[in-house]
Amino acid sequence: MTDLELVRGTFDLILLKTLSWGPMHGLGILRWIETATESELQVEEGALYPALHRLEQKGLLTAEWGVTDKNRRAKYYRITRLGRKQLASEVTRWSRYTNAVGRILEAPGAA
Amino acid sequence: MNNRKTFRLPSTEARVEAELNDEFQFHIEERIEQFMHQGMSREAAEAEVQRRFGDYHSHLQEAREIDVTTIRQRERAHFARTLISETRRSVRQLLRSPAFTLVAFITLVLGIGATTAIFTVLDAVVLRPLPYHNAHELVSVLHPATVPGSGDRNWGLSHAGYVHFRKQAKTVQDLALYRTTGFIVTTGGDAEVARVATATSSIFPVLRAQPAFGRLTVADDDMPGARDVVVLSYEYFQRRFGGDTSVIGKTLEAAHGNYEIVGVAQPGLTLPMPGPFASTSNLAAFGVDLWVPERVNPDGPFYNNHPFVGIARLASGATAEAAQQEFTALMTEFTTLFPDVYSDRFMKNYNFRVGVSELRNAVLGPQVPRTMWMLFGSVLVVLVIAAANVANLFMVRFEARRRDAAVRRALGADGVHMAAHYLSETMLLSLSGGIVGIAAAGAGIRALLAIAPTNIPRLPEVSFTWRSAGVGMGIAAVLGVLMALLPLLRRTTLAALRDSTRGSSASPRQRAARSTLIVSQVALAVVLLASAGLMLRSFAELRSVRPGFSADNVLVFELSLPFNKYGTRESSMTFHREMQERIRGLPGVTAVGLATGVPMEDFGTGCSVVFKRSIEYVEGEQVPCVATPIALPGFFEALGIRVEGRIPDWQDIDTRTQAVVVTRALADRMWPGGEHFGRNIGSNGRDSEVWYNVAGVIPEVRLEALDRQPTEAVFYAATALRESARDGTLTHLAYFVRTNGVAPVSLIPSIRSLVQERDASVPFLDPRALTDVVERSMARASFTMVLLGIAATVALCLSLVGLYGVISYVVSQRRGEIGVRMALGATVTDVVRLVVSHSVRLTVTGVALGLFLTLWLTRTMEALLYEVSPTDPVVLLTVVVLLLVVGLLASAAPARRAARIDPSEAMRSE
Repeated sequence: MTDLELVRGTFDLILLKTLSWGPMHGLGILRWIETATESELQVEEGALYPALHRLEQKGLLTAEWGVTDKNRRAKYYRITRLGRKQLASEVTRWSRYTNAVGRILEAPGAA
Repeated sequence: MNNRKTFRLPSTEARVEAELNDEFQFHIEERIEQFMHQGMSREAAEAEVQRRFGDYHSHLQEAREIDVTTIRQRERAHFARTLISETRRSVRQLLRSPAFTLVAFITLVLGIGATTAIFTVLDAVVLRPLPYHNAHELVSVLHPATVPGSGDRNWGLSHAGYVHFRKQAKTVQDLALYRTTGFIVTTGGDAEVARVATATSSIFPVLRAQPAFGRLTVADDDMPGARDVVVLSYEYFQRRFGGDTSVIGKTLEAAHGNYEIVGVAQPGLTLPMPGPFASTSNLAAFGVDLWVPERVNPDGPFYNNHPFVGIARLASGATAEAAQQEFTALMTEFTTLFPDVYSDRFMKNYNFRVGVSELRNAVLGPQVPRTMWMLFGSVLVVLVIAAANVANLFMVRFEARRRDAAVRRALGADGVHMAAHYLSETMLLSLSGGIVGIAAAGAGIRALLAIAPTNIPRLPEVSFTWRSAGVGMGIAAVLGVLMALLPLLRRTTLAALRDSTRGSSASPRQRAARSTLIVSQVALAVVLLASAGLMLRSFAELRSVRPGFSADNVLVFELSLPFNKYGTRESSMTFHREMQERIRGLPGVTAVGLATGVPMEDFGTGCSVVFKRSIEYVEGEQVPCVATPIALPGFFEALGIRVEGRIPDWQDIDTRTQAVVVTRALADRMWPGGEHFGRNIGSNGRDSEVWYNVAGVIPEVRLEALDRQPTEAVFYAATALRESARDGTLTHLAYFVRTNGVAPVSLIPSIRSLVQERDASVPFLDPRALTDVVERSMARASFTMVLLGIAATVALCLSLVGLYGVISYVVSQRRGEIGVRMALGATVTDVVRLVVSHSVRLTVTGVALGLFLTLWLTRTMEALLYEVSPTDPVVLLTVVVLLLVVGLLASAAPARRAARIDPSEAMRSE
């Protein structure tokens, strides 16, 4: 089975959703996605960071330096209240979208 | 996760890249470790991580740009938040003491508003160049002369001078002549008088003017015998012809002849000033409707006739001084080139010179710029006083917060923060004061122009501009900064903190600073009050001058008869005589007089030489050149002028007797100490055949201006003199209607309809009360006086406030000391004396300094003053007394407060 390319515009949604479980560093986010999707979604890992920093600029995330369990300095991202709001409305939009697309795909062919 | 130390964002742009590298490095190293853990070789793991990560550099760049933008956005937001919070804090601070804020605010509004308003006027009248291309290259060419009987005059150029100068002068590119007059125009609507510039065609290249439509006049139009052509001013073209270009090539009908319209001049084109013999009453509203060519025959014949303003454009590199030298040299040839016109005797008798000066100086004269600068100087003084007051108030305020400031400083606030702390407060006040002040100035300008005299050139050009608003805001900003700097000059260190634990008495240096401010304030107030006082005295002197005629209850208006209908002496005489009788018949009218000039407006703007028989001359006696108006019967009666001897009546006119009336001043010059009646005078030379005889003498009258010498004049009774002149001496007359107490202007409608009934083609012009005419002639003096008076009053009030502030502060600072004194037996009187003497000491020092400044500064006012010395003791003494009273008043309330100090309490709080 080939890896799924990321649907445009969904990356931010995935990041916000991931962070809604708690603060994580960039690699942590990736690992979480890998686990959750059983490595079906493939992203260019470096592209994660501009995406995170852009969300930070919008005030949806805050970032702070912390220390990992292995005592290494890492930058942790935390979702803000604004980020949660954004996530909720994005989730709604996304499910309406997939729902609609799904219905079209599953509709019986015209005789 | 355990956060040992947290950073939100890298604090500076420089750190952004390093942090990104750290973040990326962490990712990559962790990944490699992870893959090695899963069994890969280090090389394989590294390759895999690199593949997954993608282009390290481009990701880094992208993230870096995002972060930099984020940092900048947040800095801006932070700045805005700080600004808002500091402003809020300042507003709270200011509102906490509304009295202080209100006083400071009003003071600033007055200071900035007045300065901005006067700057606007100064800018429009004096500073801005005249509305011509490269106006600095323009010069006026006139003939200053000292005329027996008329004094120093600026005569205009003659045709002879024009021809000679224009041909020879190398310092100027070109020279033009013009004079101003009026035409009764009948084309395009009702008959009305158009303002006419009669000018040589060179006027257009000299002024660098272009036609809007058609053409301007050219050299051929100036030649004698050329067709009569006219160029319309753009504004007249719009107003009279609705901007219809088809009028070009058509005929413009005027009462005395027809003109072909050849073109329209560019919008806004006007002359810099009226011709030398135009009425002086309305310089300000001067404009041009029509341009017609002045015919000059380069070969003569020439006359000694000087009605023209000369304007020239300097050749490149030439200066007005160089042109002056060249023209002076060229004028020495006058007596050789034009011996019939310019005799040696004439040149010497009249001290006839040529004057080339920068056009702007000629337009404004020496007085207007001086007055304007003086007014601007005085409002600047008010501004300085205002600023000093507010600064003083702020010093007292900041003083009270010294402890607070010292604490902030000790807690690490740097100089910049402290500056921002004070700055937000002073700026808030000064900028809001500035905005309100500028708005007030905008409204004030309109009020100012309403009372402004009409004889200040360029005044209608005054309008509130962005430039003046900019100056106003600039002043406000500078004041704001200066006031914030004051407290920074002081110690706001821990020493101050220590100081302030024991009652916060000001250091000697601070006290000295405050005293200096208040002393200079008083001194400036003295200067202003003295100037205003001098102007007031001068104005009172001027008002008390008896002009020798009575202006009360007299209506003046003018009738201008169309030359085509009233071209003969008989027809115009008949008209005027009939009008006089009809108006005389109106209820309330007691006398009606007619003359060719209006007192205080255009008497003595021109002159004619007056001779007596040659045998009567003594050696070296000068021949005077004086006003020679025509006064028809009723004139002296209407003006309430008593005449010794006989006034020529209509019978004299009908039978052409040669009776004239002269003024006492002229009679005394011609026949000092002798009999005046029956003596012969004339204007046609010493050996003339035609002589007039003196039938009446009028006592001292001032018909030119109140501040001039008694007028020398001959009143002809509409005799043969000048009656053939094409200008139609008797077609344009001023009427003087005296009433029995009925308001003169109430007669306007009935007189207007009388004129209409008699002949609708005769324009009824400019009805006005003679008292207004007299009033207007003093308008410049009263205008200056009113403005100086306002400035001085404001300055006085501000000094009072300033002194009060300082003395109150001193009392509050010395509470402890006063308490000790009282405990040691000082009486209430001693305490009051202590406080009052402090105030008086400051006042006296200020007054002394102010008097010194006044004596030094008011010398420049001499030319503005009438019959008052700049060191007038009455004025100076009054000012001194006034300020001492202010000094006492200012200390009254603080002294009472000091007297009520309870010694025990005062000492306890120490």
